[in-house]
Amino acid sequence: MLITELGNICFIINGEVIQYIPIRLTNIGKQFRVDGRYKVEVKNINVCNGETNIDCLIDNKNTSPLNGYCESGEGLALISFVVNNVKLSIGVEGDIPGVYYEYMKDRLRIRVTKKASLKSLTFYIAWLTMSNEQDEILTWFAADPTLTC
Amino acid sequence: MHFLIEILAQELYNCNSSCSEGTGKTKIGNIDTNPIVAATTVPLASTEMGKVIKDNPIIGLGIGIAAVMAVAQEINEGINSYITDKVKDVFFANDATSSDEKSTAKLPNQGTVNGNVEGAPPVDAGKQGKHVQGHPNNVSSKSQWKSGETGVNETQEAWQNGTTLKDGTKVWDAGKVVGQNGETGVRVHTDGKGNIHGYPVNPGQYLK
Repeated sequence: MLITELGNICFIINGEVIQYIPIRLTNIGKQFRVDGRYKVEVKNINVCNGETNIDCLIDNKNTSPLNGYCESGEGLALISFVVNNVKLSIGVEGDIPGVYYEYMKDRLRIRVTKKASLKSLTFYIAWLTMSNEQDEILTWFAADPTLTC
Repeated sequence: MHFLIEILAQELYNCNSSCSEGTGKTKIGNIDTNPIVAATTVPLASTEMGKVIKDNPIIGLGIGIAAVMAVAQEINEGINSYITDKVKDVFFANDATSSDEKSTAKLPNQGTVNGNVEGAPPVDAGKQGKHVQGHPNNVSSKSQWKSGETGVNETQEAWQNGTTLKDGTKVWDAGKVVGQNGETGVRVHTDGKGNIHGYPVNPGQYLK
């Protein structure tokens, strides 16, 4: 379980919470400098009953309201949350044929259909206590799966 | 000899006339109003100078040669002036383009920028920079705007005129090459703040 400043990061596949091992990544890259950066690989994705839902969410026990918003980009599905001056982003490969992305208040939902030949997905999670407005973009880069440093 | 000089005089006159008329005053200059050329070519066509030439073939030949040289020089200068004007035209045309692009040429590292498209949301410079060569945020593996261009105007235009896809992004066929790999379309993403960023795409991939 990954514990962040905004809450615990949970993965739910078709309504079932899964256990996972987060892999720590460098906090500093060419385009970013963040407080925490991890990746989580969800393997063995099997599409059943037409589609499989994979949710990556923040469980904060309702300590503060979450308002996730889309920050997608080229080949990038990314949701961000800002609470006070802390920003957390969750990114995953976007534009995969047969995969649909839903940006919800507390989670990013990935709907994998049978049309998608997908067996695994890697989520990138990054967060930062921002010192100014310009810092806001840093997690957008840090949680981009294509920046695999 | 007289006959040749007369032909020469007539040719000079014809040449000057055709040069000033054919190419136009704005192109190679107004030879007729040039006092030097007028002094040499116009009298040559007049009966008085024609008479002088006829009466004295050597002087006529000298005047003729001088006139030919003067006209040739004027034509050269005219051509040079024409070329210079054309070069200036091109330069200033480019400069105008440059000044348009100057607002976007140096895409800020962060923050938002506005292009020339009224009513379109601002472009997030930090995100746009991912697709702009030379920008600190550039990621070379991503789609790239043509070298030296930031795509700010195109992104705003795409937002305004593009087709909205199911995922909320917009794709616009720019009708011209905008990307480094020959892409002629633009895809635009809108973020939670209402800011946009875009990058070149093949429009056929999205617009079917």
